[in-house]
Amino acid sequence: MQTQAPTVKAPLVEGIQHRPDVKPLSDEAIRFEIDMCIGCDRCMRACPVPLSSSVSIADLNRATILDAIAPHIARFTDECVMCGSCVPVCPVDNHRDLLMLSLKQRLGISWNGQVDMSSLLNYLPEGWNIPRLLSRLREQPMFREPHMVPDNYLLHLVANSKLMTLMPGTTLMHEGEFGRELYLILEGHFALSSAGFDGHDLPVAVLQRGEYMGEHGMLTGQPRHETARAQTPAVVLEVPETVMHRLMELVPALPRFFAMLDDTRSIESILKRMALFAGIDDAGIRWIVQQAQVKHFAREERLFSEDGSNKPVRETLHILLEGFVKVARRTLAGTGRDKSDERIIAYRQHGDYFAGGLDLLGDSRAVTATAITRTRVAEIPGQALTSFFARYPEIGQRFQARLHEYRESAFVTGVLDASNDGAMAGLHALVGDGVVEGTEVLVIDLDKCIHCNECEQACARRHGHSRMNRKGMVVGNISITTACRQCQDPVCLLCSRAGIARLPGGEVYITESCIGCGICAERCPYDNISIVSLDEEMEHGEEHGQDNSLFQKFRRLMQEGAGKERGRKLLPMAPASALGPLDINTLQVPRDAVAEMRKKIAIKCDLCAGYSNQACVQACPTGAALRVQPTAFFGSTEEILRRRAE
Amino acid sequence: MPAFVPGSGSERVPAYVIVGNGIAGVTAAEILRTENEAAHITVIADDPFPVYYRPALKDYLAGRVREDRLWARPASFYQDHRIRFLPERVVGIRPEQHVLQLQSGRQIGYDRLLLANGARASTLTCPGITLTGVTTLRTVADYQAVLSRLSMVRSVVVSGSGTLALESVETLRHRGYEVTHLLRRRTLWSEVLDPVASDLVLQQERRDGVDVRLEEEIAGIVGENGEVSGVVTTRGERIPCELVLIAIGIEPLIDFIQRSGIACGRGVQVDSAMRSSAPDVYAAGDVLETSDPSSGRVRVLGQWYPAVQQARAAAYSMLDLLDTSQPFSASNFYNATFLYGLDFASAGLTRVPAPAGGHPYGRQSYQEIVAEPAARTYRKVILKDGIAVGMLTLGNRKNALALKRAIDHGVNLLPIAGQLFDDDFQLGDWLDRLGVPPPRSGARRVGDSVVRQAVSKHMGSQFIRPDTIGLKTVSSEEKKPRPVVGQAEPKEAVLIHMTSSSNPGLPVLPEKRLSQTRVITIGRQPGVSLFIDLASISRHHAEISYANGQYIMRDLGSTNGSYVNDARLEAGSAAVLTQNDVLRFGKMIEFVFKLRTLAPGSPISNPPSMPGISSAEDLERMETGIHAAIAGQTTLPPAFGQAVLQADGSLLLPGASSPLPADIVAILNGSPALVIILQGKPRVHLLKVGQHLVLGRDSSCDITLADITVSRAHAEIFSGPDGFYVHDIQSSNGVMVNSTRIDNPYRLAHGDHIGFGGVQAYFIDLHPAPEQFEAIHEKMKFPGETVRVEAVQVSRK
Repeated sequence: MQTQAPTVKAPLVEGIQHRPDVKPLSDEAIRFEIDMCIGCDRCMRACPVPLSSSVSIADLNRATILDAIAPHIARFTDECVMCGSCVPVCPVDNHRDLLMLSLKQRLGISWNGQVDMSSLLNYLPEGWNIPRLLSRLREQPMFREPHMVPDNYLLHLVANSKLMTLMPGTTLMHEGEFGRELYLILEGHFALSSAGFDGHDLPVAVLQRGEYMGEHGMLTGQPRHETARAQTPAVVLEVPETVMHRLMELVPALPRFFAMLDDTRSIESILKRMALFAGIDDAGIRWIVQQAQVKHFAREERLFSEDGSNKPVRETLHILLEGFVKVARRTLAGTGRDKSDERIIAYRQHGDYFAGGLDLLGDSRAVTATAITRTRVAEIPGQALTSFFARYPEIGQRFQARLHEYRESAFVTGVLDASNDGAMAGLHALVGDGVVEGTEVLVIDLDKCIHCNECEQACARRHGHSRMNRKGMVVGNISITTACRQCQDPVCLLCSRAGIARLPGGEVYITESCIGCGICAERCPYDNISIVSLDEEMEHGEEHGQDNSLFQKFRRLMQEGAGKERGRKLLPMAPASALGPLDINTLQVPRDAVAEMRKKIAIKCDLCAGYSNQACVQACPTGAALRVQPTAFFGSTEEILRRRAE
Repeated sequence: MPAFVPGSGSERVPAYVIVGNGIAGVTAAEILRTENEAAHITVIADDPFPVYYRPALKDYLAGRVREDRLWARPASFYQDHRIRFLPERVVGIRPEQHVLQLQSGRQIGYDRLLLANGARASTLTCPGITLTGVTTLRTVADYQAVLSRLSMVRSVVVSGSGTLALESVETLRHRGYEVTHLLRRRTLWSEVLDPVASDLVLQQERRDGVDVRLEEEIAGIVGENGEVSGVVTTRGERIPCELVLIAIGIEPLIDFIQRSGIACGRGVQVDSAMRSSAPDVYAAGDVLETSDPSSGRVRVLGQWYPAVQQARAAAYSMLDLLDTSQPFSASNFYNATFLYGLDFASAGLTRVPAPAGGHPYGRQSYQEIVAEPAARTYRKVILKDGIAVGMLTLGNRKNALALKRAIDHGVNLLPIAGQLFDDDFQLGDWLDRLGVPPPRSGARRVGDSVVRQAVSKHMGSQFIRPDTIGLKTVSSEEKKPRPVVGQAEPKEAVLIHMTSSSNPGLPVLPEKRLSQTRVITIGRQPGVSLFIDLASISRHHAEISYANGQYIMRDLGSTNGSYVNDARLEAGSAAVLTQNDVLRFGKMIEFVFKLRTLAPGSPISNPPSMPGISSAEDLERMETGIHAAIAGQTTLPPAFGQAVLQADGSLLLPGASSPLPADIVAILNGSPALVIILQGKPRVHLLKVGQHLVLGRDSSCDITLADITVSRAHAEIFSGPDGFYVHDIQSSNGVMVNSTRIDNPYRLAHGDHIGFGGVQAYFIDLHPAPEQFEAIHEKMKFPGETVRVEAVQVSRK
């Protein structure tokens, strides 16, 4: 009974970050729902977890209310992703997801269980053993406290990660590539470098044993900031993001630790890139970083407003570490865009900065800044800036000059933005609908398009189901199709089963571990992920007189894959996520083929990763379909503003 | 001078007899066994298989549920609960003598009897009723008959106005058949739905292409060659069809009950404690008739959830454990289902009763609040003088359960009547603020409310409700409350007996593990969960329950008292237990209450003084990969345990000093085996199908157990059609399976702990292959047959 007053029985449960509102059932409510259950099995049929096909509702019900939990139920409980597919199909209004939660609570945290170290032992470098590995891990600053991060968690971490021995000169991360793994250096030295303004590698740092790399990519999903190269023979633990997330759920101190560290590093790297701060020594940068305070804002949340209480202290320097921000000013009601009472002045994205409430526009009136995407902002207070300018007068001068420049140009943009409504509307649409968040967008030139739908059909031919919809938002003569744009910071990339992942080139793809639970589809703000049922496809086949035996299903899956175009290149498999509590039960429950067969999968555009071309673009007879990088094609927001103004 | 007097130990155990093995009978049997481990429980039914999910049969008809998934209890149900099952038919009861008369002529005595023999489908007495293709819908066999006929069917006539008829219509229509639905009256399910709701559902049916005919029934059925070919209705119309389904209700099976002089109307009549008119005869489930206290109408419910609750009430009543202060009322239960694709829920009154002559109140005192009409939804609440007395929601079940909660506790909804059905109105939160307790979910055991009060009092002192904390923080990151907080890992609770040196003669009691799902009773009465045979202990001395994460002890009015940390509990009152509490029963028996981490041997249970890697010994363990399981090994008494599979693949059995090596465990993977612990060393005997092994002290036995507590020929293990059995062959010290002595051949399941006298053994069967995988398993040639491992002795007959 969800109406129940909150209960206290709430042991920690992993893997339910996507359900922050979930409220466990009371003992009485659990009993009530089990009594209500009529065994119609619809929840289990709706369940995307493959194992659900070999769990009977009677067994599950009994495990929920009795002390004993059979091994196959325990494994199923562990695999339950709490997607909630089972709830709407229940005729008697039960909450099977909350019943599963109660089982999860009783089973406890899987990482408290035993570790299967057998596979790991083969990868240990010459002369290493588990104690040495553990003591090296303990050198990592976040793992120093054994009572915060018990040995067993570390062993689970290792067992689910990749231990690598590298030769000198090996490159571990490439700047600009996407990657969400965290690298813990257990031995050796690594040189971090970054391409400077002139394209030459600028050495950034040398990291050694006890330090780590890649946390920025892991936390933000952004491309790597730096290239990392081994200088000496090295041993590194490559921790997949999902594994790190699991540990972070278990040890709440860890996310705080990483957030703080990542903040410092990103501010540092942005400052170093800013022409404004060019030529400052490391100590100066570090000092100013220490003064910064980092704040997080969700979509639609206001950083500060013209009149509200969030009005920043004048002359505070805001540096956008992540995300997009809309800067607007109030106008007469109904005269702004879409009859709103605000006029958008500018868009700002990560790496941009503005001072005070002024946006460096020189207007004495304050503005309102609203986050368009998840946004992280570093604020450097005015006092700190003043004393900084005192120490480095040339920076102060540069700052003043910049401010002056802006005041000059502001006259132009400020006057013209209202007179060019059509262009502005296009820009607003692009930003508001998150197109600029994308890294690669499929657009259709409507002047050339003959509406033959060949792009969608080619997509379906290649992948089995079309992953795109030709129709979408229209800006000028350009239609932006409904297909994944491979966001810079994809919110979909949070899958406990590692069913969705990103290639170094940035393509976000569905891995073979996907079970189609739909959590990522729900997270996508642009509805670009859909779920297809593999069962239905099979049943469909049956109607067409195909043999539908299990063997045939398998054969078809093996020979044809999910798609219909033969000879598809397989995408790299994401490493299996933590097996779970009951690793020991893998021995007792046969991992039989039927129970492994997936019922549903998610589909989304992955830019035809693994193919040499893109089916939709290739198939277009008139050359109307194009893949474009939004910033290059539409120009950065700032440039669009300026261009339209001219 | 003995300081204690042992109990007499000659308490008579009660004999419970249950007629019927449907959901009511089975539920009651489970409770009887849980509450009394010694009682003789007999179930008599003509169908040997225990209960299936009857309401799921519609999904079976739709082809969505496999038959093997219909069973609500495993085939081993009787054995698991130590229930004697008689495949018999009862023909009479002699309540005065407490004797049942069976069809075979046998007579069965009982102390208390539960009638849960259910109902049969009502049928018609029109011409043609015996034609092939005319059937009622009640049992799996009925549905199988329908399924097997469907291939030759194009049109179906379904007669009946209840949910069963509606569901059958829906299922068959979705499978593509032409369906005609005949209803006797103008409304569907008139016991529950009002005309508006009924019309909405009928509209759904018609929209889907069902030929719905109101006030029309079957007058006759016509056929050719013994098979149905059409139906003639009461309006004289002829409808051609190949299948006729009669779903016009159920009739309780009361023939022999009525003959025995027990009061019956349409069904057996019982009071709120499920007692019939005869002493010690109780009834539950579809055999009952229930009367609605508000309208006085008598109904045969025939529904799943009420049957479960009635059975629970009956079982507690038979055990004298029913909390009669809060009786379960069948009229207020939460009735939820899908009605032709529309979500439906109701509770309490669903129609304002018509003002009847002589009725104390008129229609005026009732008020209906109906939600704004929306497509395919209809929601209403009935208030009586402002107090919620009933609700019906169709198409949208938001807040439905909260409404039931308001009805259960008689909440006045007038203050919020205007916003009740607003989209953003959360009735549950509003009731929370009023302090309304959760909905009543069913029959309660005595003491439940005392226990719950004790817990909420205990919680109240240390728990602040999240909604009362100002959660306004700066960053959105912090604003998200963590979904669940609290203890880091689940714990198990145990009672550890404290032996006292001053009374060396006292019995030493094994560690008792407490349950989170059942009440642990402590006393001198055989059948209690913690049996202490001392005269200073009352028969029913105390019990320990679990609620909302806490263990609570309640005194049952014991003579010598129950103490928590030397403070005596008042009779009937309860106390929440905390770590290391000392529990004393009477003067001499003391236990310590311990909470410990559930996963045995998990390093997290190490004392905090051992952070990380502290000793060389620890290092070595980790290096070899046997990290877990060892830490807890020394503290695990053999009685507690389960076999622990360790990180290196070896198997540590409780009571064994050395683990089974991994290579042998690998072999166990392929074959069931008996692992016997002799002098702390495990010996593995692989069991082959068709084998028959005799175990005993004599060297001529197939497996020789050189132990003085073992008889010369002690027991036998043999394979039956469904697995391996162990059988005691009149040994002196008996065969214990999971601490219970067995008399009859006992089918072994994986993990069973067997005691042959003092010799401990385990039955290991890592692949108790379910039927569906059997074929695959047979094909896989097991490599273990060619592998020879020295430590394994393979016995052959």
